[in-house]
Amino acid sequence: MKSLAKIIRRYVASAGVLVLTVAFFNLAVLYLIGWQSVQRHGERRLHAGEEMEHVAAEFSTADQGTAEHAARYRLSEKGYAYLEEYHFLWSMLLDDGGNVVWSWRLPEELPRSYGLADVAKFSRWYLMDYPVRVWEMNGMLLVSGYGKEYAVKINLMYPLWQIQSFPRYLSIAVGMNVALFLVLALWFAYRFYRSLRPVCAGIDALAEKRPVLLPEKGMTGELANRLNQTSRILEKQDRKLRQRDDARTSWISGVSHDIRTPLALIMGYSEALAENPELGEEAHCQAEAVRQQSLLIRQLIEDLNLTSKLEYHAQPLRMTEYCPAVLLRETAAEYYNEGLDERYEITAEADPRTERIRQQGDIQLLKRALRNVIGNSIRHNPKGCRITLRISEEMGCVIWKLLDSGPGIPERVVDILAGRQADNGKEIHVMGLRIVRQIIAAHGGHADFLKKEAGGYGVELVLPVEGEL
Amino acid sequence: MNLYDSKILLVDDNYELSAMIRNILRRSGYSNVSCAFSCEEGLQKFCQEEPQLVILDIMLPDGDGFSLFRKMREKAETSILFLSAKDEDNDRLFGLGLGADDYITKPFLSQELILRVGAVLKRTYFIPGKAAQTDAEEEQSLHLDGRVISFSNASVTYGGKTVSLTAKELQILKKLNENRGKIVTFDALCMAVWGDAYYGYENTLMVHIRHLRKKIEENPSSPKWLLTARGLGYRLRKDEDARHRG
Repeated sequence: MKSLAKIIRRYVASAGVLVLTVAFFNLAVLYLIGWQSVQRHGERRLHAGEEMEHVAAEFSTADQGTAEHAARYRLSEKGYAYLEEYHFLWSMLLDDGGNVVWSWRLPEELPRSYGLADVAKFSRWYLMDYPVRVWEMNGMLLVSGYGKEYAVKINLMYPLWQIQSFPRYLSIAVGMNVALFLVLALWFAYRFYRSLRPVCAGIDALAEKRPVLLPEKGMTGELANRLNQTSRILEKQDRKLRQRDDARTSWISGVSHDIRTPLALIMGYSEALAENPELGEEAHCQAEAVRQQSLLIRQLIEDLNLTSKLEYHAQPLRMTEYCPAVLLRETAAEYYNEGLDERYEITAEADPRTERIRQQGDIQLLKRALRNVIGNSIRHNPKGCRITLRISEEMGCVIWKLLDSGPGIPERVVDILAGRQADNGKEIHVMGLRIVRQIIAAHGGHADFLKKEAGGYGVELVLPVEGEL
Repeated sequence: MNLYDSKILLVDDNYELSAMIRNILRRSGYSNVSCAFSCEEGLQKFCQEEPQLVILDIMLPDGDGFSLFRKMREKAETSILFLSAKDEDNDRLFGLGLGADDYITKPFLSQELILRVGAVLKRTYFIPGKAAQTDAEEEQSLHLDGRVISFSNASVTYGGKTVSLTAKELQILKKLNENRGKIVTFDALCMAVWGDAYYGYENTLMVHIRHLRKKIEENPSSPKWLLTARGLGYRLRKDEDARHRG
């Protein structure tokens, strides 16, 4: 609904801008046309009254004593020039009796005397089809005519009430226009929103990796078509990627399976050789070395298999409810019960609050992660060390801290695991810790490294009590 | 019959591995080991020889070990142990779910194989007999220096007097004795005694242990037998010399 309001606002605003722009444009065009026409005629259009006034002002009474009208009223040169300038074809002056007392280019067919009815007619309409202008001049009437095709006369008369209610009509008209404009804008905005809705749903589905199949009709048909295409491509890529991952996982699993039987033979015979009393001390040592290395290969195969499965989510998690404090004690006790060398000491410290926490997790996998870290400490401290396992609860998470009194994890390993340095695979084996990270990530948490005061790093595992981090 | 006289049938298509396993078993005293290299041969020998234990590979040239397992179990309730290169949890669970006595993945340590074979045979054929009886008698009393703890009477006898153990003390001591020499976590103890989690029983457990020490230790403030594994649990010290074999 938020997006609908936004679309409507935009639509109304843009429609408003559109209307104003069109209105302004039209006014500008009209003005331009008027201005151009004035330019073309080379004159400023005067008010009708002004033209006649100009002409009338140029009349003079030349000789009072002369009986002849023609001689009595004279127009100056300027007056004639005005008549020409204002496009008059002819002109005449009528006295109060309706007789022509002065004339200029008066056509032959026009009468020389006019009655009241004639005057009333031509002053409103035409004089024998000539459009005329009339001007009262000292009790006389100056009548000037244009060419028959020059102008059209329109008489307007409105009842007073109509003129008085004009503002009201105008405001109603404006109001109705605005309402119409708003209704149309809303309607179009809603239509636009409706046509966009499936497209938006499609984009959402794409983001969530769901397949998209939108109807390819209407305003957004082309867009929907492209989205459908994109979805098909993504689906295909996803399928290929999954196939590749599956192939890789099953390849690793196959290889590890095939290696197991020969490795069982190597281990079995090396054990037999190491215990054979007929062989010398050196041969015993060599056989023991072969056995140890075989054990290492076995561990590596298991790690490789697990890491590839975790990476491609092929490892099923057997989630059960567990108490972190119990897991902590169980893991530490297991080491002692398996015969932990006296050089090592494992202390387990559980914050009392963690005793009440119940989490969901694959206990075997979590134990594997803890054992990988503890095993690392034991392996890298052949002279013995003290390993501390500590759990606490902070902000809805259980924090595991695993530290040893030895040199800890070297900075290079931490850099490789954090992706700050490339793993050239030659000197350092980080698979064990990588598995720890993967297992913790599969449980919605994350594994970090803690810098120890004495140098080196310890491990911190953060597991959410509920859900994911 | 002796444990080592048990007939063992090994079904695995790898000749070298079969030979090696047979050698390992023979070296440990199991003299009656025969081998089969396919499902058909395996089933045939199973019917003929009626072994006490079958060690079965899963991937065989003419079928899979799981089907062979079913066919064998239809004929007799013999102990069967899977030995496979398949390490998937699913396979392991499937095998055990079918009713197999154990599941070992390749590669394995010789000692592990021997121990597991021995455990399966003991559990199946030797516990209800004499050996079990001996174990039970052994379990019923416990000698710690001069003190004799009788599980059946729930009492500790020393210096001519007898002190009785409370039900909880007896349960704790039994659980520790079952895992003698090993650390039993607070959680495992609480689960065994109260059937509940450790949380809320911290002090109760400590009090019971203190009372128990008073009864079984010469010097309860510096215990010799019932030891604390700090932060983890308790351990009943293993001392073969001090144990009385009845």
